[in-house]
Formats: sequence, C-alpha cells, structure tokens
Amino acid sequence: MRSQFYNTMLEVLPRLENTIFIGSDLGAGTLDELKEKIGDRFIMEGVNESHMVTMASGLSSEGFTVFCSTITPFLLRRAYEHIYLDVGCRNSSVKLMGNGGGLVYAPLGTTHLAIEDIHLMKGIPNIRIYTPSDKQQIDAIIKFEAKTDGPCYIRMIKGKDKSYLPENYVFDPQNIDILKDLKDTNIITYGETLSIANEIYKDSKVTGLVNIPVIKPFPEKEVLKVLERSQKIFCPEVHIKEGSLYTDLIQLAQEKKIECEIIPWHLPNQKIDLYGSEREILNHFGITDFLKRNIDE
Amino acid sequence: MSDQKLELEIKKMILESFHHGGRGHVPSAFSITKILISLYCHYLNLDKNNYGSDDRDRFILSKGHGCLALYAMLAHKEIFSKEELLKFCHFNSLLGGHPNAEKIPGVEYSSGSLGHGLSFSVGIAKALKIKKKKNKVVCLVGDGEINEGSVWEALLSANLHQLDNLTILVDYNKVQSFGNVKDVMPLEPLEDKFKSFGMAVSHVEDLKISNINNELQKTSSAPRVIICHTLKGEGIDEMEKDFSWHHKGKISEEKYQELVGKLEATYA
Repeated sequence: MRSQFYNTMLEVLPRLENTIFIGSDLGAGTLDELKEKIGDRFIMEGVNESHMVTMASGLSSEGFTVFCSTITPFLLRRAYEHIYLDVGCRNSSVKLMGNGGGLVYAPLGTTHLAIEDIHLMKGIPNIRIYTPSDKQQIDAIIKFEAKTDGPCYIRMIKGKDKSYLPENYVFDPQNIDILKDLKDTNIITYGETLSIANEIYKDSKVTGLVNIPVIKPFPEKEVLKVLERSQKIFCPEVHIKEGSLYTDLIQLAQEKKIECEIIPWHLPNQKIDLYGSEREILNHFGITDFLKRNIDE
Repeated sequence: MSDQKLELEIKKMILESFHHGGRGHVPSAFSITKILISLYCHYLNLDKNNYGSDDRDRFILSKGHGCLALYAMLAHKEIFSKEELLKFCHFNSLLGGHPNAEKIPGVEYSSGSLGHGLSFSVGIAKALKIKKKKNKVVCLVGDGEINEGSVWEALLSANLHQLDNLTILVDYNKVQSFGNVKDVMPLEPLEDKFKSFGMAVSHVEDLKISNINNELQKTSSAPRVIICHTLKGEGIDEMEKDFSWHHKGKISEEKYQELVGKLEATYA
C-alpha cells in the first residue's frame, strides 16, 4: 500500500500547487522522483515527529494542504499533543499518513506497533479516520483528501498487490463496500483482517463480507442497513477493543435498538511481546481459528 | 504617547484584566511588555487594518501564559475593544488564560502548552519562503519553555531550512514557575547552545525599548535568536522577588489599588 501511496503522491502533488509533502527521515531512494517533481514543496525533516506535525500545521496556516508521513507509532503516539492542539483543535489541513497501522512492523517489535491508533485518533477533534483496504481505495482517499479542507489520519497497511475493489472505484466517505452479498451472517472489517476473511470466506455462500474504509465520521446510514439485514455479525480487527470498529457497531445497534449479535475479535490491550510476521502474530492470538470456527457454524 | 507612558498604560491594563478575571500570570506579562511595544509599535507590519490579511507580519506568542500583555497590546492597537479586557476569564468571554487564535482577533496562534509555537513559526516561515513572500515571522519563547525538547527540534529545522525570515526572541528573565532557572533547569551557556544549532545570536542586556528596536532592525542570513534579558514582574517590587506571583488568584480591591500605585510610582 505504501508504494501506491507514493504513486498517488507522484500523480497528485505536482498538479496541485497548494500541496506539500513532509516526512521525517524516511524513504531513502524511493522519494527522489517526487522530490524532483515538486521541488521546495518536498520537505524532509529529521527524526523529529513532534516538531514535524506542528510545522505541518504552520505550513497549512499559510494555505497549503500538507501530507505528513512517517511510521505510525512515532507519528501518532510521540506527537499526540501536537496532533491534538495543532492539527485537530486548529482544524488544519494536515493529512497524517501513517505507515504501518496495526502489526505491519511486527518483526521490529513493540515500539513499532500501532494497535491502538484508531482509538487515539478518535479523540482528536475534527479529524477524519480512514482504513483503506486496497490500492484503489488508498488512491481514491488521497485524491479526495487533497481537495478537502481539514485534517485526516490514513491507516496504511502492507500488501501492495491487494485489490478488492474495481479499477474504476469511486470513493464516497459516506459509503461502505459490500464485497460479498449480505446474508444472515456477515463479516464487517477492514485492512489486514479483511484480507484474511476474504481468503477464508471467498467461496462461502452463507456469509457476506463488508469493508469499512471510514471510521470517523462513521458511515452510520450504510452500516445501519447491514445491521438491520444481519442476525449475526463477526467483526475482526487488528486493533485493541477500546475505540475499535466493534465499539461503533455496538453503540449504533444499541442506539437504534437493533437486535443483532455482534461478535468481535481484537488484540489484547497489552504489550505485544512477540516478533514474527503480522500473520504469525495474528494467528498466535487466534484470528484464523476465530474465523474458521465461525465458518464451521 | 511615549514608549515609557505606553509601558505604564499596558501594565495597568494587565493589572486591571487580572483583577477583573480573578487570576492570571501577571509577572510573565510584565516581563514581555517592553518586547511587545517594540514589536507592535516599531517593527511589525501588523495593525487593526491588516491583522487578517496576507500582508501582515506574523507574531507568535509561544509562551501563551504571557497573554495578558498580548491582550492589552491588541486592545491598545484597537484590534478589539478594551472592554474585553474586563471580562478576562469570565464565562463565554473572548479572552481567557491562554490565547485562542480561532477566537481572538489578532492572535496568530493558540498557545498554552509550551514548546509548540516555534515549530508552528518554522512552518509559517518555510511556507512564506515557498511562496516567495517577504513577511517577517517573529516567535517569542520563554526561558522555562525552552526546557521542552520540541523547541530544540524546531531549531534544528530552522537551521536546515535557513530561515532568515524568522526571528526568535527569548524572554530570558531567569525565573520559571518553580524558581530560578539556574536551579530548576540550568540553561547556560545559552548563547553557545543556540549558536551550535546554527542560529545568529545576539543579546539585549540593557532592556530598553530602543535597544530592542535596534537589535530587531539588524538582519542575518541565518535564523536569528535575540536573547532579551528581562525582569519577571518588572515594575512591581514584590512580583519581581516572589515566585508565588507566577500565577495568582483573586486579590482584594485594596490590594489592587496598592499595586496600581506601585506601578505608577515606578514609571513616574
């Protein structure tokens, strides 16, 4: 997905003179073409994420839309107050592009994980939160945000070849993606767990599959239709329970008095002490068993 | 009005706001009053006619707790009414204990959490460079504030981008909230620290407004730091000596009148 992000930057930023790319000591060798094409609108800071975020807000105060990119935990956790005050409260057009939401950097250990990123970002005023699941989606979301005022956080996952949506996909922030027709039992998810669910359920004739690309503002109207149609929903996520998509589904179901069983799968809110691939760690915590157990039912 | 008379007027407005609000950081505001007079009356292209337009110079008060001085100056410049000062910190008032740029005319940046304003100023200065604009950018930081690591991150960045349109003023009164800077978190050799970060550093040791003016008029190819040797609480003896004045609550009418009298005596 990161390569698609750079490709979209390459396509969009040279055309839009009011855009800036800012990163913090990343992407050696991969960003040269972007740097060449946008000149002084390409800014590479050092390892100084807190400063970078507030500097991005200062740049946006002069009329620029600023794409601000680095590894997710450093972008969000280290710079949290800077995001809260200078991006959120100020409603700055700063687009936080988080490389590695969830367990993408699992082999690198705890410092590089971001399993609470959505939870953190939900507390930021004005911010839009996106969870794109494939390359068409991230491309479309970036193009939408390049022309939209205000801040956003985009959770980028790995998997450059993943493609669930059509080539001519058009992004609508109020929409969700019904990837397999709704049935009595449906899976609602996004990102890496969509990939796993799709792999397990691709031939299922009894389970629908829904991708949620926007967590905030929550696409309530469309999600409500899924809840109303479902007797049972499985909601697996590479995230802790707190602040998850599951909590949004439960809240919506309660508010609208919909009787639908919603069964979550999430990571524990604890230090993840394991190295290995993202899939290995997800399996360790039982994602495949969870999904296969439910297909058996 | 002479600068000295204006200084007295601004400080009386600060005291009056504090008295009506029942709280405030008065010594910090007194500490930066001369600096603000120099900036707003002798240096910046920033007034009631252009504060909302692109041609204004940008002033960022990073040490937001000095805002009583900024409010008094903005009222003096007729950017908002002096009556607003009397509602300081009241429910639903324009002016609160730290400045809100999204609400208060003439305030460039919402500060209060220390260590943010310089990064924001670096962003503005860089953006103006990209747009090839000549506006000046001035950021005022406190000496306690520069304990924050993000200030030094911002200095590295100002050097990287060679922001010769950025001037950083340090309110070096040598007192922070808990006590003397040299005891709480020593900063010396401060000049060497800034120089090693690539800044062009100068001092205003004798803090007269004319001396600040002279220093501001100089230019440099590197980002500038002007270390202003200020006096926290300047003008009222007890505020200069007593750390507990850093942030005070409500005082009696009698005490207020006494403080006004002391100020008037100082500037007589």
